[in-house]
Amino acid sequence: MKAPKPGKCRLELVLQPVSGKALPVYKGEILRISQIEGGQCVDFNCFNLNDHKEYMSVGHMRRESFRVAPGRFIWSNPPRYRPMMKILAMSPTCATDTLAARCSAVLFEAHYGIDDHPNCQDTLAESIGEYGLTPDDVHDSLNLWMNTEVDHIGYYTVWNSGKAGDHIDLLAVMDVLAVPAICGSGNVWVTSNFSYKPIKVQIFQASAQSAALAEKEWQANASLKTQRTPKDFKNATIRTDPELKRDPDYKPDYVNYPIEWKDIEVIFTSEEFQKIWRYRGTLGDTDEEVVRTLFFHWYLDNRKKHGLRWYSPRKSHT
Amino acid sequence: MSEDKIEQRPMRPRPAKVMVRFDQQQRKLLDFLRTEGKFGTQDGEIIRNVVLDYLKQQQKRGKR
Repeated sequence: MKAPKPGKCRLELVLQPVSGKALPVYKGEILRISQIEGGQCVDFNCFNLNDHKEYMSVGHMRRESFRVAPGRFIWSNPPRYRPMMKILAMSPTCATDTLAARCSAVLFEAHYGIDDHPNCQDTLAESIGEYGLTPDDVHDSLNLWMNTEVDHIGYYTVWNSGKAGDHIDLLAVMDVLAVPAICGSGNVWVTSNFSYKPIKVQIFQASAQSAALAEKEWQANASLKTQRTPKDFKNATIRTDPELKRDPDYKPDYVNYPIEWKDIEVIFTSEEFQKIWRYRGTLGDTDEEVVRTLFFHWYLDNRKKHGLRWYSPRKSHT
Repeated sequence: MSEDKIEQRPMRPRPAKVMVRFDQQQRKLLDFLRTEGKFGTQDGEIIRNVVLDYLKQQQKRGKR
């Protein structure tokens, strides 16, 4: 992928430990986050600048892979599920993590008995407060320069591989409020090799090339009928009262509910059926299960579109 | 007849009928394939042809 040439740098700042900053990045602009000394984990949050209920969904990035990579998107939460930013470039030593959520004050009190330790939840909350958002608006971080591994129990963190000068470039595909924050756990965990370091943040204005790419990606990835926004919601009123009360008149309208089944007779010759029968026990316990499973294996292999995934799991795993 | 003898009994050369339950969304996929025209017009015919095509593909790949 050839990265577009960015426009002029319109903002440059250094985030000192342990701080963050909420920064509007407009469609076509490029946000660059760089290591100054190396080895510093950066937690990242992202909101739609025009609708804060649309924000980054790390879970939907995780379904593409445990680590993000150049060419992939920062996706927003369903039902919107739209591309917010595109990863244009990333240093090979920038290990990314989508498993570790974010550190919070609770962890440090529980693990170390320290109740005022810097942490990503509070740093992100303080950063977005500038835009009227609350601690409840902080969401799971995309963890940049967080080197996690996975074993049969779960994830664990290893030595931060980030080097001085490493950077990641994120192209805004919509207007966003981007929030990089210096991870608070790095001085007592290996996340940042047991010491805090500053981070450089730059925003480059949209160039003709970057604006064109942002528009192209938006058109290609945000035009599905089911990428719903509040105008499509049955209940589009955002609650302000924190207490949940039941609406006795509420009638849920589940999609295609109730399910309507149809029994379909399928006839095979004896010879054909013998081939199908061999799959008993591996693709189903009954003839019906085996036939349905074989049908869907064919469909997934031959007709399923890649959609929002960058690969077809079955094919790539075989 | 002992159980061993039942196991050894050859399969009768007659067609096998399998009842397969599809919900309305699964049947939409049958509609897509019906539109393509390659797999037949009846639901059962489409499922049969798709399953046989899958078996053929697997045989080509040498899996079974």
